Amino acid sequence: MTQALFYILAGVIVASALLVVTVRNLFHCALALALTMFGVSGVYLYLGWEFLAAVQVLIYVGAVTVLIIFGIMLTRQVMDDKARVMNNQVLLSLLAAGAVALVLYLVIGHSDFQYSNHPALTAAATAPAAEASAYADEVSSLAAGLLKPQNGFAFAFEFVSILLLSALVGAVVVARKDPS
Amino acid sequence: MISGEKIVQLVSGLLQQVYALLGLSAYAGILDRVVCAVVMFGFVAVFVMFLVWMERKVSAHMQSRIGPNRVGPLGLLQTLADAIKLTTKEDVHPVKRDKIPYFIAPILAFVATFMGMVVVPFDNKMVVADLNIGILYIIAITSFTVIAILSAGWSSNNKYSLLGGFRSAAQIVSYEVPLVLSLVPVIMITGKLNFSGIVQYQQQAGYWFVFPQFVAFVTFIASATAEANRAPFDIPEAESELTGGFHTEYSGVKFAMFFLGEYVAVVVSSAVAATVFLGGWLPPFPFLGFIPGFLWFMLKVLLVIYLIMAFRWTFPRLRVDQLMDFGWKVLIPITVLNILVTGFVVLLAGKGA
Repeated sequence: MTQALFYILAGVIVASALLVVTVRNLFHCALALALTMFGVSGVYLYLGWEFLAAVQVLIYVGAVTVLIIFGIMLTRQVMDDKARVMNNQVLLSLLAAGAVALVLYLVIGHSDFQYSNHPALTAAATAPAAEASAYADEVSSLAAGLLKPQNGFAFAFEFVSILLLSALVGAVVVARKDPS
Repeated sequence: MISGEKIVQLVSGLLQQVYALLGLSAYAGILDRVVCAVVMFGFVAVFVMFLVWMERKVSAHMQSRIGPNRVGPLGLLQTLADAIKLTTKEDVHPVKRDKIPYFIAPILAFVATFMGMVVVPFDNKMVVADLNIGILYIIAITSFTVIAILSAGWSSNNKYSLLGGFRSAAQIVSYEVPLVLSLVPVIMITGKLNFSGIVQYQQQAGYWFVFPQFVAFVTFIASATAEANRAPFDIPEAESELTGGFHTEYSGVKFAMFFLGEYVAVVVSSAVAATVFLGGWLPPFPFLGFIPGFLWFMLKVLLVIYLIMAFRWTFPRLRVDQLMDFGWKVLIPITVLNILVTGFVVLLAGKGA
């Protein structure tokens, strides 16, 4: 049952990801992208990472895809589906994609990352009644892992937030009209 | 004494027997969820019908009119009649529409807000799914409405729809920021993202968060009104400027879906406000505890909804630039300041999670 669920999710993700790169109507591409991202959050849920799933939807569907749709709507006409699917960099991009996949495969294969937070998948299946409480408190452990000084990620975390802030300010400066 | 927990136990016991009778006990987990979804849909549909009637009565009262009074007692069945009329209407659509998004948009608009009802706790243990990340879930799942509105505006192939869609998306994206930020102080105090947990905290603390966090309550209601595209923030629809906004080209059932979605959004935000700021199912005074919790909860939800409705008929519509100014230059600084102050207090009191 749970296995079948995974294959359905994977099928949806792969199919919609293929749609993103093959459909000629850019708006449909963006909608397919939203579906892909939603499917990925489904995989997170399948593995029991509720927080990651919610953040995935919030950022990739609620923000990134909406931004892309905005871009498309401001630059295209409604029935204009003359977007080119291929360009002359096919070989180069295939190479890049393959390299990324290889690196990801190697990194994930060698890490001791705990894939699943789901009690039914990690330990022997417990009684379904204890379903909700059996989840580890993911948010607290994530916060502790990121922000406790002895884990060594606190500085990087703060640094990333400053980087994001400066990017935000930079965007405002670039977008602002010249007063002259 | 009746309580939500006992009702849930009774119903689930009954359902178990029905499953056993039909020989479906193996699928009890899935069937339970199906029943929950159907019951929730029925509740939402009837409640929204009541809200439409209430909205018309409230507006009539505020404008010294009588309001609907012909169909049924006090005009209560007026919305039912309207709903039947709407669903049996011919489905008119533009020929040069973009077919797939045009079809998906109204469904998505309703489903995205309806999914939020899943984590709303009506009473202690009376909730479809008591997720650990309840608040985050509602914020995430309702962000699909932006895509639905943009799809509707785009696929209608009509410049008014497109403009309405743009305005709406810009508005929702802007007001989502103060909406989320006004919930952050409560999360900081309780250390919980779970709705039942927040209510239990209020029970133990002996006060509702509307008192220490009144500012957050006000900013939440203001941004929730804007999120739901309701007057005075109803620029996306602005009848006088854009004929009907993003749903200009929709009729019949598809229009009804948008309409339903809008009201469900109001219900969900009011439920969140009632849970987070008004103590959810808790009675205002302990001696009133004999009234079951879900009645208190519904009363609080209706109170917040009344507040939002009163807004609509009191304030004139804002202009686009005023709307953006209000969001970015008033609401967001206030909420950020509120988070800072709350953070200091939590640090000083030493009760941070």
